[in-house]
Amino acid sequence: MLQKTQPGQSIGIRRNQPMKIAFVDDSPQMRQMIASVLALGFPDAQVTSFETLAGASAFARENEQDIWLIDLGLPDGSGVDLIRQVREKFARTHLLVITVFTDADNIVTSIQAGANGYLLKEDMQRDLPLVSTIEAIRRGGTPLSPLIASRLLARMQIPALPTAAQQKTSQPPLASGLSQESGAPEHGLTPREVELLLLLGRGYTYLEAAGLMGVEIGTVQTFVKRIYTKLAVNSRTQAVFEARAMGVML
Amino acid sequence: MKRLRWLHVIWSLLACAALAQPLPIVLSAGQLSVTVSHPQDRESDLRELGRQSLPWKWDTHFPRQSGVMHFTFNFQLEQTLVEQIKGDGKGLGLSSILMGNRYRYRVNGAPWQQVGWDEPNTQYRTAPRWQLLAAQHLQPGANILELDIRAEPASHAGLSRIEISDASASLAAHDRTSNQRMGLALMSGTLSALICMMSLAIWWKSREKSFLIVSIAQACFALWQIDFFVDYPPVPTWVFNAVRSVLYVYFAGLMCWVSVLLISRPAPWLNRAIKIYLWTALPTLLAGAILRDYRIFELFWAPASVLLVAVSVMRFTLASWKKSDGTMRVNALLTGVVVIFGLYDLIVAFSPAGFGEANLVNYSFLLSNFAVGMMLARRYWNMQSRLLKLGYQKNLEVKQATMLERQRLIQDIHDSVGSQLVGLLSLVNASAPQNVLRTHTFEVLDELRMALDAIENVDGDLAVVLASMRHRLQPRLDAANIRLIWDVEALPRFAQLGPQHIQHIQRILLEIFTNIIQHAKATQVLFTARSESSNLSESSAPELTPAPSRMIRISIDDDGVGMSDSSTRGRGLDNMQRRAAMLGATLAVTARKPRGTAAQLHIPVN
Repeated sequence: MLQKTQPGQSIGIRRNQPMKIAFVDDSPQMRQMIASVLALGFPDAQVTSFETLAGASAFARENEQDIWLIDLGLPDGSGVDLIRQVREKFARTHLLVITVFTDADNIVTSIQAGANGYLLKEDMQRDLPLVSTIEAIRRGGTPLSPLIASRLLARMQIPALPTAAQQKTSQPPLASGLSQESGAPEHGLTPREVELLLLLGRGYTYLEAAGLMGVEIGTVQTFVKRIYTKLAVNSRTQAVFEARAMGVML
Repeated sequence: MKRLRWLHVIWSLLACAALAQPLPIVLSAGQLSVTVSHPQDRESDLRELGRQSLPWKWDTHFPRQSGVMHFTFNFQLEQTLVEQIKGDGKGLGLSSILMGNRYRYRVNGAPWQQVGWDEPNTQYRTAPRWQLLAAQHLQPGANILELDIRAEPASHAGLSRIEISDASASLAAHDRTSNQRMGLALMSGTLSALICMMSLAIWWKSREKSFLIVSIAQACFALWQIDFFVDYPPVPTWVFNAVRSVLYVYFAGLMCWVSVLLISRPAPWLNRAIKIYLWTALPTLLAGAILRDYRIFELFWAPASVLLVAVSVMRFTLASWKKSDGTMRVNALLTGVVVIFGLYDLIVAFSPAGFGEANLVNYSFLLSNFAVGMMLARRYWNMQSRLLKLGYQKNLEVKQATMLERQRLIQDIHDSVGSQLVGLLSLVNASAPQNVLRTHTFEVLDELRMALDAIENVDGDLAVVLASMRHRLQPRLDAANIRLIWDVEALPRFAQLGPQHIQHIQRILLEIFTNIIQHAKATQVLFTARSESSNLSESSAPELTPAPSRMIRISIDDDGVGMSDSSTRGRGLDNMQRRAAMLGATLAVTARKPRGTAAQLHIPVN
């Protein structure tokens, strides 16, 4: 299964080149399953798999991939480190977190480290989805669960709850005017992107959110893609802020 | 010009009584002529002012102008005294509380003795002076003392009464006064600097605004003391004096602000007054300084600060007296002393005898600053012990809560996931068909996810709980071909929303949805969550709710076959009602017309 790839290949459009996918997971069953799903979904792809963070990390340093599938709980460390490493070196690689259950905090950390999406292992067992998730990730970002959306809002210090002014209106309070209230947003999200996160946090699907915001579903996917990118970019600022806040608390 | 000056001397000689005066001789009036400079046309003119009594202030007569005062005094010395002085070889001591502070003097036409005469800059506060009238220049009978003082606007130039007495005794007295003044200034400055640093440190830790204000105020006060040590500042006089006035005015204003912050009783008018005071002080004082006119300080800001301090102190005293708090009382009393002393100083400054002779306020500031330091220390200590206690209590509460929570979780996982896994095992053992096993496994997974969702910290946001619920249920609804219309508004924070509450809400909603999916044969479900005031809701009587408290109303309306009377559904409803009661919520399940069921859950938020 291990296939050699040439380091330093050009990035960008690889229409005529086979897609390169690498993944790391410590469970042999999972590795086997992922490999077979990928072989079915992307018969032409070059697939490389790893059991440990160390092996994956060494490979990632030298080889640019189109897709990385990363398990967070590895025996020799956290997959978040690998995400950070890949993201720093290769801006265009799509990073997908594979994890058990909705471990919201770890997923948020992964997104801030540069992941473009996440997939729950048990969902892979349903009739779904690794292949369609990979397709989704290349189109935009993978779906954000309500809990993740609300956690992201909390990390950005955007109040998920209505202000007094918003409560007066009977309309579902959208984020119009929200960014103005919080001053110049440090998180870099536009009011529309914040609005989308707020709607997702309240349980609306992409389609419903698109309807409420009066945009196409494709626009919502674009928003999600941008949210993923911006949150990764801003994670450093956020870390600085948190460190400062902690310094104050001490 | 010169001739005029000599005319004075002759006149005063004639005017003086022939009788020799005993020591000490107090000179409280003298002949004065002034040279007023006109900086614009670079000319100056000499003006005769005749006999003037002391103290004499330049700024009172020639505001915004510079020049030189030429004083001529006449005093008589006894033959025996002069002989005695000449025998000692010393002379007489000349002392004054305020002189100058750039001047020169001579006795009986001897060479000029200069003190700071050529210094380019001077300053507002001047120190007491002592000069020696050398024995060889003194003579029995009439003696003439000439004193020239250079004046700049707003620099407190002038002369207070002069005392001529025994050299060593008056020098000793002068040294005592000077040392006292210096010592006091040094003590005040050091104390203020210490309090400043202390409150800055406390502010850094606590981020409590009042500590920062105290720190700035004390820094102002400490810096204000600098003129005790600098006679001739390195910066232009008007700059130095402006800085000094600003420091004083802001020290008073900021301390008043702190007193307002320390009293919990609000006084918007005082807040506004302090705000206006702090905002306007700097521009007006600077404008005055630039125009070389310090009257704005003496006529307005000094009385304004005393008034403001007086008002603040009265409020502070009253409030702290009511609190029966020892330190606050001491502090209030001491600040009260500052006001009394300040008023006294002000009266003295305006009285003819005044001018540099009143300095009580500095003593009282030392006391009040000491009290502020004490109060800060106490406040910090209180804060620390409160935090410590709070931390300890919180720790204990957290430990207990964690233990309870752990027990509850074990119970819960045992009940839900455990029993489902046993069921799954029995299905495997019975070689159940693949799709049955698959469905059952997913159900176990869902149970586990729900249990995990319940422990997620959602920070009081019920909407997220509902949203996660939908996330879990959507595949099942899709499989049953039921369309879910989702309408959840942003809900108010539900402060006490803990895992147990979440679990009750989850179970109630899950039960309702399970009924809809399994029994109702519905095609469409409308899920609404709104926040509303409880006294507006039709279900509760308005007169029974004393204050409007917020409620969250969750309604689930389906278009299914409606409620059946089967006993299993009845048990499910009982179960739901019990959970709702534990939430302090009310649950109503009613039949809809023409078909379907409406379930409404009202959850109180506070």
